[in-house]
Amino acid sequence: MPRFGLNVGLAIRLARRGCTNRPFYHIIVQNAHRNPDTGKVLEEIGSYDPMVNRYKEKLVSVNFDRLKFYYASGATIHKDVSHLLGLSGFFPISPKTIIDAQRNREKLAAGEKLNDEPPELLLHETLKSEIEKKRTE
Amino acid sequence: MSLQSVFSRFLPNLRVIRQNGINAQQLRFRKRRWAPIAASKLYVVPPDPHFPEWDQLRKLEKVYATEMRSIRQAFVKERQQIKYAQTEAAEVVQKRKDEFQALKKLNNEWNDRVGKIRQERQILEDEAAEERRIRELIALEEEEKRIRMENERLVREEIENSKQFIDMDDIDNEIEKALNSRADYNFAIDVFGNRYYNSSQTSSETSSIQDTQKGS
Repeated sequence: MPRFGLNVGLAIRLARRGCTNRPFYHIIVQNAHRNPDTGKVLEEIGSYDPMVNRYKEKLVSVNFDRLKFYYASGATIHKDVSHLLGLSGFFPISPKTIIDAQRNREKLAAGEKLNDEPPELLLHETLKSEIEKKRTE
Repeated sequence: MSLQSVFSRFLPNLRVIRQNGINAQQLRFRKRRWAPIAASKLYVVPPDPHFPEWDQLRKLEKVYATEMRSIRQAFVKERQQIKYAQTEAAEVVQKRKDEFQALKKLNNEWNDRVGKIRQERQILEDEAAEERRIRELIALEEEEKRIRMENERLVREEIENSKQFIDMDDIDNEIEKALNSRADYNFAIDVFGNRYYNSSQTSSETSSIQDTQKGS
């Protein structure tokens, strides 16, 4: 497998940087044997907020140039990150995403509730109408 | 016979976890080896550890891995193109060539200047060396001449001395002469150097002794 450079032992993964009951993740590059939460980080190339905001969005930011650089250098991408990148359209949809979606569909067909369905937020009427507008657009 | 089967036959409590570099791991058995299966577990089939989408996931992962490999190759190519485009830019190459030529020209000028100085110095050094050589040759000739003359002188002196040598022909005469010429050292001397011989001896004898002493 051709690689550009010798950064073979690197991993691109999520590191939890939130606090209790408030998860927040950085997308980091580090040596694969290090602990993502406590170990040394080579570079932060993005962030991921798993808690939905008032527009029911989970925000992800990625520096795609650096991601390209590290992936070309031989870094491995972990499943959670590849899931996010697949949903963003930068990479193909990851198998985990497909299987999860399949399970969710089955659950919905069976009339069950999804695990990560965001709770209904208490919003002002104007804000609600704004959100509806955005969704319809 | 594979390593696995060897281990399982002769060392039942070891399990090979890597074939190539004989890494073995000890297995602890809850029961003795000869204890039978419990009656309640006799025909129990353990549940399949694979979840239902297992095969589908394996297939998807294969496809995904192939796609990701091609994407990685594309990224590598992109980076290589960027790199080589940077290194092979015509302007940069031309600039580097010009710089090299300028440096080469300057270097040649320096070399010429230094070469001229060296040639002049070389001529002077050659002349000095020739002079020195001639001087040394002359000195050598003079030294040889001096040695030759010295030797000739020695030979001449020896020839001159050889006239006084005593031959077998006149050895008797010489013995006679020696016997007849006797020296008397039995004298006194004062602070002025006057000698006082025994009074019984003749004055002619004393004078002859003085003559012989002067000659010796």
